[in-house]
Amino acid sequence: MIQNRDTEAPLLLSARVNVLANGTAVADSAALSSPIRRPYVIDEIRFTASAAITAVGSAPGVNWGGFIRAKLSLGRIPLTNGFIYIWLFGTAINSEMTVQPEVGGVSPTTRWTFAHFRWKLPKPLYIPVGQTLTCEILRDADPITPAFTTEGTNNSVTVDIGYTGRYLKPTADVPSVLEVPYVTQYLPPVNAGAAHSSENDLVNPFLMPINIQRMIGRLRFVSTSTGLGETTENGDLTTPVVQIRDSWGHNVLNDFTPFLYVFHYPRRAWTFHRILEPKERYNVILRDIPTQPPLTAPEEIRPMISIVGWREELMR
Amino acid sequence: MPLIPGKPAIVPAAKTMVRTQQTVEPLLARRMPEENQFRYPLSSPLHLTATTTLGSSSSGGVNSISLKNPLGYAMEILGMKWQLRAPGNTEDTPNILGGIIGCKLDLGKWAITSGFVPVWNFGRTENLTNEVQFNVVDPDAGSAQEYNWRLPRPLYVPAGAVLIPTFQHRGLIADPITIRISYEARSISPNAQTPKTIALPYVASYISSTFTGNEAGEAASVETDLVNPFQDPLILQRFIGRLQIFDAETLEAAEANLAERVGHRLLYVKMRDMNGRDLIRNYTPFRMAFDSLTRSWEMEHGEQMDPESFYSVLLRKDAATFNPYTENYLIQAFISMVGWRNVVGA
Repeated sequence: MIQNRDTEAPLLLSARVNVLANGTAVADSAALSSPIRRPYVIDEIRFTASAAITAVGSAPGVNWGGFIRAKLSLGRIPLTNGFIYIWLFGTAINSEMTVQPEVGGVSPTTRWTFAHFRWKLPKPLYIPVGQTLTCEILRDADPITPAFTTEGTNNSVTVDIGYTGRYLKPTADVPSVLEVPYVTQYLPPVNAGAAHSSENDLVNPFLMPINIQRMIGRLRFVSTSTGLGETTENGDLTTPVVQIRDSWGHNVLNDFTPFLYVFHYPRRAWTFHRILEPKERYNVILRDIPTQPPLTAPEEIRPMISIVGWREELMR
Repeated sequence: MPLIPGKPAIVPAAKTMVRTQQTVEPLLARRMPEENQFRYPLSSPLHLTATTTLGSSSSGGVNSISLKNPLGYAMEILGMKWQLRAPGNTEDTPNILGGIIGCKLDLGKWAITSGFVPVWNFGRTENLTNEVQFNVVDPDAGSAQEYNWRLPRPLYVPAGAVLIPTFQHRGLIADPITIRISYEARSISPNAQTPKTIALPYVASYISSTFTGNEAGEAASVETDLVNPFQDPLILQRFIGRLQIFDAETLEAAEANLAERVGHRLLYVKMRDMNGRDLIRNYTPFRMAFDSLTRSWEMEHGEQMDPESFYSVLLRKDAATFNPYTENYLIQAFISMVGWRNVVGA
């Protein structure tokens, strides 16, 4: 029975997948659907990637954020431009705690590590009755294979996906326009000392404008001695460097600027508000990316940049 | 418009419904908390503090005079802090005390908490690592553990009144614990108008039964745990979820890091309201529900709890097939609900 005082109650939906290297998995849509026929909104999307591995070298664990990707869709409406690395959705929060090794594990060399990422949506995402925000997960091939222990699940990485939000009141109006979050990314080639993004990377592919909320930048790091993860400090914090221009050739970044200055380390993000008109894009030029040599294959440092925003879609 | 004889009637154009693009914004806009800082522009900051030491398995209060506005005016409390110290609580023998001390808050006849709420269950954590501070110069000198709570709305305390805290030592360790409670407040000018509506915070908590490290188990809350006993809806600020791992052999209580595997791989939580409607649909890893980095599930958009209702928490713990979660490890979940309600004419 619908009560007049039926309030907007909180809601959390979650699903778990185990994904092998170079494999994909689809999160259980039933688990990510509302159990009752009421519309709801999603305010935040969470990812936690974990695995039980023998430490890679002396590394405490692996930051899977740069090796696991997610594709989100609301029916025919995409939230992502294909598979986006899960650490490119939201800002970093408390960087020291993002990857948490388990202290006092089974043995000195066996560790579970848990990497947490959170995307607070720029606009709450309305989910109509009967619809589901589906999530597919893709895991890259391991550039260096961690030694998974038998405590894990057959060399797979466990990814937990969570949506937090709230039920709407049964009497709430159905909106005619949806505000849909959107993320797209640019990935330069591996071991490229310099790179330039294309028209299909950080672009607005739609016929409506995108309200840009922020850019996020990460440096993926593969090392035979310290493992798979993220580099935040390469000795002098000055390389690689990046320059960004818009579609009209205007400088967004005037000069080549150290990557970690633009995407400030505590948050890995540059927040600004701009409307990206249809087919407009940002052009990224990267330089001085460490290469092999002096790195020894398969070691790499790979910059990654995403833009996060939202657009309007008509409800039909 | 009156009719004038001989003149054509002037009839206003019919108002047509111009259907503009109805966006989600009016319905679903982020409802940021109202900013009250300009309600009392002439207020001055105030910091009040009081301490007490509790023996194991005891309860007691503090010197309430220390928590009263010394100017004798009304004040608004914006936040609270707790600091806990225990002798011998060093880096080598740490004890996480946030789950051992409970705090009950009363403002006259108004209860701010549903009984004793563990002090780490009021506010989200901003920096887990720094919740425990060890003495750098002399690590054997002990540690201080700090917890804080930024109130969802400033709490108006009339002139002469005191928000009275009472503490309880749950007796998990034999050591006495020294507690310092502080209010971050502002004193209000005596000429300021008394508000007609007061936002009263409210915190309720559930402490689960103890799970043994290596065994499977289940636990469930009761109707009197996470309850809204009022006839008004409770506007939720957040849920807090903490895990305590107590080593019965060494008598040490821990929370972070060691609890990560428990929170992600062993302990799962499900929540429903009193009508059976799912808040957390499936058994979800504890740390997915109560975010690892903040130990909280934030609500910023006006989520509400129905009047005179309760939430049920169902916990499931899987058996651990690996060390160190032997039978000596006792695991407890602490879940709290933090919100506020508007009281007219309080």
